[in-house]
Amino acid sequence: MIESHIRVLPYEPSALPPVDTNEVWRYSGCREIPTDEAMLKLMDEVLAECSRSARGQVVYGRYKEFPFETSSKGLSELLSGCSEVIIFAATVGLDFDRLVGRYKRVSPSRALLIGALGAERVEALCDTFCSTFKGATTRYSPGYGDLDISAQKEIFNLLRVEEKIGISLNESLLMTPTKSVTAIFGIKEGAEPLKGHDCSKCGLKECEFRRQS
Amino acid sequence: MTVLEYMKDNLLFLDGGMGTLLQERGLQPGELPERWNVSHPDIITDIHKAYYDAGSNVVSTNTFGANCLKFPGEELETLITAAVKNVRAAQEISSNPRPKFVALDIGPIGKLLKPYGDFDFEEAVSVYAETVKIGVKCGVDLIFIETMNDCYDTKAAVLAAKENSDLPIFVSNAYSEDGKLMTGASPSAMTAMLEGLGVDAIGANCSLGPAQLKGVVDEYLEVSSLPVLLKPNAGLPRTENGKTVFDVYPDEFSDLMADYIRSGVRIAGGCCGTTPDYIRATYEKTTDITPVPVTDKGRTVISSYARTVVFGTAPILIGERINPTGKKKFKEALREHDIEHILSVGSAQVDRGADVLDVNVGIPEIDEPALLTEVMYELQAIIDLPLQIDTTDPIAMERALRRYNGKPMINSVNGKDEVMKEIFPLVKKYGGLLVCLTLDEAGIPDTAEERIEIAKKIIKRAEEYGIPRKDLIFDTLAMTVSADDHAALATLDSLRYIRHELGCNTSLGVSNVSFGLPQREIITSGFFMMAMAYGLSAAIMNPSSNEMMKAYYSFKTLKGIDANCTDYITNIDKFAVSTLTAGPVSKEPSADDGLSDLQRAIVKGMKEQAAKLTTALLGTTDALDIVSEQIIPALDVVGKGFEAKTMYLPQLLMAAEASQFAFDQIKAKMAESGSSGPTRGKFVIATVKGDIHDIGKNIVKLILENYGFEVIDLGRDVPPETVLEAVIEHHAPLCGLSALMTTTVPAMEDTIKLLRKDAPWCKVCVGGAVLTQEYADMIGADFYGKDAMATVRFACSVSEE
Repeated sequence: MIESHIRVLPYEPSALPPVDTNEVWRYSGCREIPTDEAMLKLMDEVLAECSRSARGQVVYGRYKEFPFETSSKGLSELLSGCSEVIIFAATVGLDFDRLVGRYKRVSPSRALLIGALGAERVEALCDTFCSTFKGATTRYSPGYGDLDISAQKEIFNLLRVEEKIGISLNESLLMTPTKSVTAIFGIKEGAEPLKGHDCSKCGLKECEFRRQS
Repeated sequence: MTVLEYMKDNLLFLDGGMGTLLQERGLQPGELPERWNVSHPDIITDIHKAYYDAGSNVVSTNTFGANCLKFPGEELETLITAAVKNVRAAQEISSNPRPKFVALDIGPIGKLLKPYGDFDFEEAVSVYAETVKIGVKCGVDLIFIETMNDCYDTKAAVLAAKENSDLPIFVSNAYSEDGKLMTGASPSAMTAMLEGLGVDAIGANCSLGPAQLKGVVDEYLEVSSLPVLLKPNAGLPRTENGKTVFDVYPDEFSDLMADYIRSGVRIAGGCCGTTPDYIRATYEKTTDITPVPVTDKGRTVISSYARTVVFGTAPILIGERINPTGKKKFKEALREHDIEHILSVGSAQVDRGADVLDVNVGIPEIDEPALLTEVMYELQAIIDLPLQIDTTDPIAMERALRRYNGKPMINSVNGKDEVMKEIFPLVKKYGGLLVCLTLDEAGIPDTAEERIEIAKKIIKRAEEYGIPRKDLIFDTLAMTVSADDHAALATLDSLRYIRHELGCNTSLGVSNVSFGLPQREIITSGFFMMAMAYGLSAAIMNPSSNEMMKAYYSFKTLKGIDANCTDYITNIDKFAVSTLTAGPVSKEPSADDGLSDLQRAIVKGMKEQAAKLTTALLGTTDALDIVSEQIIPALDVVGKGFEAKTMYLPQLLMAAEASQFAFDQIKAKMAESGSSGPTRGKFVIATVKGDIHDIGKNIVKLILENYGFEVIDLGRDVPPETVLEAVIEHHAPLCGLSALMTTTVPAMEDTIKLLRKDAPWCKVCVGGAVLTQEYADMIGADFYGKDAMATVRFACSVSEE
């Protein structure tokens, strides 16, 4: 079945940029990169086992007008002056959930790093996807800034995310595979290409993972 | 003539795409195509007719998404009835004179099943069942389950079809570019499961063009004993002037399809982007080809959702440790419903190199059907090896077989009439590789000859139920050699005969042989080596025994099934040392950090080192002194470093894990002397209802255990009532609740309210990504734990009161 406005893109592990280990450390809660031998060895092992576990899939739609109602001021600010809106859902698949599920019992530190690697991979997938659009603005996700988490439901209905790329949404609006992202961005002539996630607009000032710069 | 009769000597042609054609005729984005069966029956019939005219023998109803989730109420029956009528009408007016059939088309319901998603397997079966029942009532000729991208979901659909009809079932899966389903199954894994379930044809459709599916098709043709079907897309889609177009045209498409048919594909059609032109071109290019006969590949194979294990070449190692027999701690875990312990026993065997895990949870005082299914299901959530379902209770067996994701091993049947009558129908229905014990009403025969007779009887009886001998694996029963000098020989002689003369695979629980003898591992591994030489296909064994692993790797190398001795060289070092604590302690350069060697090992997260140093210390120092003077101070160093942000979470965890290695040595020592360690008290911990994140909770649990708390872990997605029950049952003074999302904080508040009312003594602390001190105060928690260390400090302060 094909819906004309919905596209699915597969990304093989090799289609993603190399793993940025600094980001993996950051996602696992390190503000500085550890130097002790045992930690570095663990990271090496995790990368050897899992850096190719990311099987990326993105489903997206392109819209001339924003397709559902939201009261988010931050989002309308982001999209003002855009010629087009792109809404997408991305996942790197279930392997990370399985591996975390397995190691959280025998080695929680390994599970933590694998989870962090999954987070790094799905962000890398989003960056790779967004960078294919010229003039892409930064991205905005449900639950970020003042965009209510309930926007998840709208995105899932709109893109038929569950049947297209197999992400499911539970009653509490959590996604499985957990290493998945839904987001919105606009296309604006001359928009500065923005790398990664912008922490500056977020209200969670005490967040462990907040970027300092 | 039925479709199966027709297929015997003929190629079968299916239809092509529907969605793109409907869009051309005006279907709007977001409009459900199934509704057009009623609103535009003329257009639908016209498309069906075009496919029959082009050469299709089988046209599928326009019911891809016709299920009761999408179309609740009476609309579902109306749509399916109209859809079948539309195909029948097309048959009437088509010019194609050859036999024409109608398939009930069933696509995935689009819900990810538990344990990853939140849709229950049995719910999925009943959703599919509704569609099947209506289709059967409307008189379709076969059921076509297609575009399935998950192994478990496929099984749900097939069970629904089998339980509600006697019609032929075709199953087609949608593979990604890496040749696997979204959830990880390969064509050979799908083949194993679907042959076991007794469907009539299998293959691939959608997602990719014919050229990209080459690997998938080749794999099917190599392993499948069923007719293989292929229904690719017209290449990959792209947008041109706002329209979706595909990059493979009928001429190229049909050339590729003709090649596939020459190599053995028996059922051909097209999926997204294909039109009657594609089918016509394929039909015309292939009608002269003599169909390649479908042959029995004779494979003895089991599978999980991600892996297949094939029997008959290298011996298969079946981990025996998930079994209460003779294991006090494991029995206790079963009684206390300590799933975590069971899972860690499973995980450890995977790390040691097991190929399959045996799962036996049979103790008298538990609900075995419920627990077996739960353990199997939880194991499958984290381990991708196939499992062996091991029970003597047929009710437990059926329930586990039903819920198993893949084709399992089944332990066991034997030559008793009554047992065969109970077990064979289950194997026939759900599929599986059945372990057959060569014993009968008269017990275990002493001689090889009598055991062989029982094996022959079992083979014959299985055939009467339609179970082929490739799905039987014989266990000729290893008996205790200390009770009878010839016990091992009777086992081995019958094993050799069954393997080489009867051509069946064999399996043994090898450990039995050594009961009553000193240094059991030595004789067990000797017997294992001998049995492999006699033709043993699989052993139920203990993968944590180095002696057994040495025998296994040596045998493979000596037998010539280890090219260039690679497996031996790569793996043997880890089995050459007999225990973790043997060998010299590697000398670390001593740093001027005021720490003892053990403390430094813990702080630096060096597990093996910590274990070795602890063992050495235990020779001279009292166990409890090691805990209070070495381990706890070391953990405090790390804890303080974490609080001061000079050390981070992964380091905290590594140190905690290293201290667990040290604790394990201490516990072992204390168990020898019969004493148990002191505890700081009980702590009930849970991730609240609706929330599935538990990594933070697990971290807190680990650190609490390090500090001597007895943690009762209720897992994730835990309802308030369950938390209350546990707090009351253990009269726990402390309870920790975790939530990750704002949407699950209300569940946290409900849990606290309930605890306040019915367990007022219990102090509640909360934590999780979105919580703040303000939130914690608002929902009435006693304490907000901003991280694991804060929670530990709070817990210690409560326990000291």
